[in-house]
Amino acid sequence: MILSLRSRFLAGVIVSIALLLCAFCIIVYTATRHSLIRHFDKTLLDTAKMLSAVVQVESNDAEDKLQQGRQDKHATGPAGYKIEFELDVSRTPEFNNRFGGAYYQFRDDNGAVIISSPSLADSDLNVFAQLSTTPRYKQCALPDGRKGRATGFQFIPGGDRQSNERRFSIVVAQDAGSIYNHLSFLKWLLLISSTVIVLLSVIVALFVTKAGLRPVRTLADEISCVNADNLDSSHISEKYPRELLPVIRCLNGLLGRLKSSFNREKRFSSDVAHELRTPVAGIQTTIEVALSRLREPKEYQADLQTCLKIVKSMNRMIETMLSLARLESKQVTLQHEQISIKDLIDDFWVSFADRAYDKKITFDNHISEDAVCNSDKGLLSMIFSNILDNAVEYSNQAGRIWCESEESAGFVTISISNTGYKLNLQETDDVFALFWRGDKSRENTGTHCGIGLAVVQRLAQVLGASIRSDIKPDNVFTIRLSLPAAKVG
Amino acid sequence: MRLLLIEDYKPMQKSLVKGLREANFAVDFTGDGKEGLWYAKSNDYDVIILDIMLPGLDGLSILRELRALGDATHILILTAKDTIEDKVRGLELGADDYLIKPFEFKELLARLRALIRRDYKKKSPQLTIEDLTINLNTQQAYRDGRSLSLTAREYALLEYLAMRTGEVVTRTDIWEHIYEFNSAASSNVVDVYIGYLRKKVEEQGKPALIHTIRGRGYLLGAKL
Repeated sequence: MILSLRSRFLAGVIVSIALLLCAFCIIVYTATRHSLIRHFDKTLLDTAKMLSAVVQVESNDAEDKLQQGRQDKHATGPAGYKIEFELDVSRTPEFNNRFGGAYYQFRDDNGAVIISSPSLADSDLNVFAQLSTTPRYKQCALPDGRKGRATGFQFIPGGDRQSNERRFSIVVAQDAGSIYNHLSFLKWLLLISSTVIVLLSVIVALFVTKAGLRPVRTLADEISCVNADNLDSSHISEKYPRELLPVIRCLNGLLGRLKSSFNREKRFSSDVAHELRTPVAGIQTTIEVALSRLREPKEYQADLQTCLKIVKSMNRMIETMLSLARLESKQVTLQHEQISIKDLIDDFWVSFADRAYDKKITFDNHISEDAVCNSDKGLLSMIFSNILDNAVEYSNQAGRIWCESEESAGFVTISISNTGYKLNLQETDDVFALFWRGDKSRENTGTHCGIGLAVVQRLAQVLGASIRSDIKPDNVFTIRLSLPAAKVG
Repeated sequence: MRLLLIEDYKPMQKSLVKGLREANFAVDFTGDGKEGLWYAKSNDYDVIILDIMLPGLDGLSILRELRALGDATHILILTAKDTIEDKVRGLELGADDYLIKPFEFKELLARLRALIRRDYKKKSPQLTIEDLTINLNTQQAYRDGRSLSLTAREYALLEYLAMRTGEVVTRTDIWEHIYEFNSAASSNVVDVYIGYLRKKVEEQGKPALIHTIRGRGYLLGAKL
């Protein structure tokens, strides 16, 4: 199924807007999340570094530096080291309170817990499987069930020289619920606002496409008004956006060709009607009048002769049309031979000489003796016979007919011209149309019916020749036939 | 009644002229458009039968020119052109009837007679003047129920007088509507034929129907 322009445009716009919005939301959400978490992790790392800085490891004989008012942690490591951890609990209540949301835990290099924040109570803060000196971050579930983030790293605690070989690790976790709540809120805000924007853009796009496609609709309406009855007055105006102008120009060109075609069709029907109906009407009227009363045998004989004459002329027309049909269905076998065109035309002129003499027409054959073609003599004879017949028929009294030849690029071009034609220059191509006659009155119906040159054109096509006509303002009509020249030798 | 036939197809022209003359019409004819226009302008015809595709000047141009000149002669277009557009164009240009070839000759005759009746404002194909009855279709005349034996020319003369019953008809009118253009007859022959007609119409002491209006012409029917 082919989608309408409007649907395509709408679908394209909506999908594009949705994709762009989706990309925008992902970028905004990701950037915001990254920024917030980075800031949070940085704070967490600062806290962890601060806590790691207050861890001292001394050998067991070191001086006890425990002071009143401070939280003290004393632990003895497996190798007999004493760990000192000094933290002012009153300044960090979040680590002291079980629900303060902040936790820390120190482990020695064997993974044993050395110190935990009071807020952890009996819980463990085993977030990272393995730690290095590079801080790691992770989202984790806090002992109280809330969502938090943790950071951890290995460090070398301060203290006397012997203890410097030991590495401890610290993990600090803190409630990150507010960040995740903000991010969740941002996610839904982006999702809902994107959906609303997409829906709004559907409505806007509907209006925009409707307005944008209005010229197309108007053009479609204008085109739909064109039909066979008003084709003559139909012309699509060019008052449309420039994107549509090439289409309109093509359409107007098409309409022009269609008009010509319709007119040719109408004229063809009219011509056929005239050529076929007039002789039939002649026969019918002759017979009806003859039968309207009893007559002498001589009168019947005269009427029958009239009818016979009409029938013979109709028969000639039918034969010519059948020849034409045979030519068009390619039921012709060609027998090529070398033909001297000058001799062929001279031979044919004999049969037209009497008619030409009656009209005082001068005939000149200027065709070169060298004008030889390789063609079918029978079909070529039909071509020249029709052209010469036409020339004699339509030449003026005391007019002139002349033939010339020209050879170039492997073709012999024969021109047969006659004076006295009264055609418009625009009718040059019409002369080869079936039933076309220069005399609109169709004088000499029954003798000429406008098939001759149509047959000539089809014959030329069969012989692989090209034919064209030329009408000059001085009433000289020329037919030019280009035939493949015979190869010398 | 006098007709002008403008038709270029010779076999058709010949048969039509023959048939129309046998139907008691006086027929002038030509196959050339320009000559046809000249005939139409120069003579007073009852009907012009006009082909469209003619050498010299086409039928529609003849029609257009005649109507532009105010010529009200009835014109019947007789053509092979059969489309609605052709018919509409012909009738809109002022033709009174349109007949497409091939046609029945008797249909052409019926249409011609109908046009002539319309020309003389006669609805019925039967004309009655006192006890004289003329059947335009059978071309028979009766006086007091008795058939009159008339020659073609006498019938044509009686029909023309009957069409114009109650009017004084001049010799020129009669000559123009009964005789063809190339007729060798002079207008005096009208008087001769009126004499023949009178004898047949008013025989056996019947009251006179054809009156001579001295210096003007003839009148069929009650004297003014």
